[in-house]
Amino acid sequence: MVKFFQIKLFALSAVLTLLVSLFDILYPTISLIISFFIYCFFVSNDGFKFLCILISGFLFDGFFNFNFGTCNLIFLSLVLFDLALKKFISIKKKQTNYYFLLLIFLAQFIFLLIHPLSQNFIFYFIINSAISFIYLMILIRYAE
Amino acid sequence: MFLSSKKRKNKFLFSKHEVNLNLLIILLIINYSIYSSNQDNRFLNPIKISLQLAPQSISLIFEYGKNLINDVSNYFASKQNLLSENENLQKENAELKAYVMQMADIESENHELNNKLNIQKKYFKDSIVTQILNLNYQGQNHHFLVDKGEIDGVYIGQIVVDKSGIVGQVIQVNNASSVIRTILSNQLYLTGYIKSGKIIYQSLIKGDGKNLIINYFNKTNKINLGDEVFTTGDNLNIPKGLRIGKVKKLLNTELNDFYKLVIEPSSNPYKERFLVIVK
Repeated sequence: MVKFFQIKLFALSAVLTLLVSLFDILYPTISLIISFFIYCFFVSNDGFKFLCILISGFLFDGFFNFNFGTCNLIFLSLVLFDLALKKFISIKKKQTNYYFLLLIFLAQFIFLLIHPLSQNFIFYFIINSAISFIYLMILIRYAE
Repeated sequence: MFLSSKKRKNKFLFSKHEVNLNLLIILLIINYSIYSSNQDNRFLNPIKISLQLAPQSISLIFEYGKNLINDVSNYFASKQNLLSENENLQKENAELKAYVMQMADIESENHELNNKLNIQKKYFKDSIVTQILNLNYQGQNHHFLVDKGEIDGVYIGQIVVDKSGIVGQVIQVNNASSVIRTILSNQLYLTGYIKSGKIIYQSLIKGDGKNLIINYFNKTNKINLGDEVFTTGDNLNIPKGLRIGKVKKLLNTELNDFYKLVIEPSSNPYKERFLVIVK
C-alpha cells in the first residue's frame, strides 16, 4: 500500500515536471523531485523504502535525460548532511519548515554545482528553491 | 504553518530513519561513479532511451493538448477577426457598389451626351442639348419638362429630336425650362411622307398615345409594312426629312377605300435623358 502511494506520488511529481517543462519555466525539472525526496525521507511517517526512493531517482534521471545518478547524488548528499547534523548537533526540537528550506537550498546548490549555469545563477537558485518549497508544502498539506 | 497541524506535533528536526553511514558512503561512491561514467555505453544508453519513451509519449499528449488549445483559441480569435474584417469589407463593398453605380450613371450620361453632341455636330449645328427634368409634366401624358428655356434661346414650336428621329415639339417656354409635347400625344399633328421604294405619299400624322396613326390612307397607294415615314418640313420650325417611324399595321376602316395606318415611332424619349432642340 505504501509502495503504491509512493509510486503515485512519484508519478505525480514526474508528470507535473513534464507539464511544467513544456512551458519553458526556468529549470523546474529538478525542483519537484527534490521536494518528493524530502517529503518521502524527511517528512512522511508512512515508511517509504529507501531503495524505492533510489529507484525513483534513477527513473527520474532516465525520464528527463539527466546522467544516471544525478538525482540520487543529490538525495544521498541530503541524507549524508542530515546524518552529519544528527551526529554533531544534539538538539531535539519540533520540526520546522526552515530545516526543509535549508535542505532544498542545499539540494539546489548541489544541482547547480553539477550543472553549472553561465549566468543568472542566483536568480535560478532562488526561483527553483521557491518552486521546490511550494511543492513540498503542498505535499505536506495534501499528500496524506 | 502547514506543520503546525495536529498530525505533525510529534515530529522532530532530523529524519527519524536510521541509515548506516558506511552503506550511505558506499552508495554515494557507487552513485558518483555511475554519474561520472560514460553513459552512452551499450548498457545504460538503451535503458535511458526506453525510459524516455514514457515522458515523450506523455509529452506528445500534452503537446497535442497545448496545440489543440492554441488552435481553438486561434480559431475563436481569427473568427472574431474575420467577422470584423467581413463587416468592414461589406461596408467597403457597399461604398464601392454605390461608387460604381455613380460611375456607371456618369458613364451612361457621358455616352448619351456624346451621342447628342454627335447629332448636333452632324445635323443641327445651332441646336441645344437639353436634359429631361420631368416626365408627364403637370399630369399630362407625353409632356416633358426640360432644363433649357428662354435664356438659352428656346422658343415655342421648335422640334426636339433624339438619335432615332423626331421626339416632339416645344409648346411652352419658361425662363429656364420648357415643356415638350411628344409625337405620341394626340394633340400633336405632323405632316409627313411615307417613302415606299421611290414613291412618296404625303399625309397628316397624329399620335394616339401608343403609336402614330394616319386615319385615312388611300388603298390605291401601294405601300408596304416597314416603309419609313419622314417629316415633310414646314419651312419654319420643322426640318425636312426627319425620321418619324415605320409603317407597322394597315387596318381597314369604315370607308372601304381607305386604310388606317399605324406607324411605330422610331424615337423613344422614355429611354433618353438628353434630347436635342433643333433651331
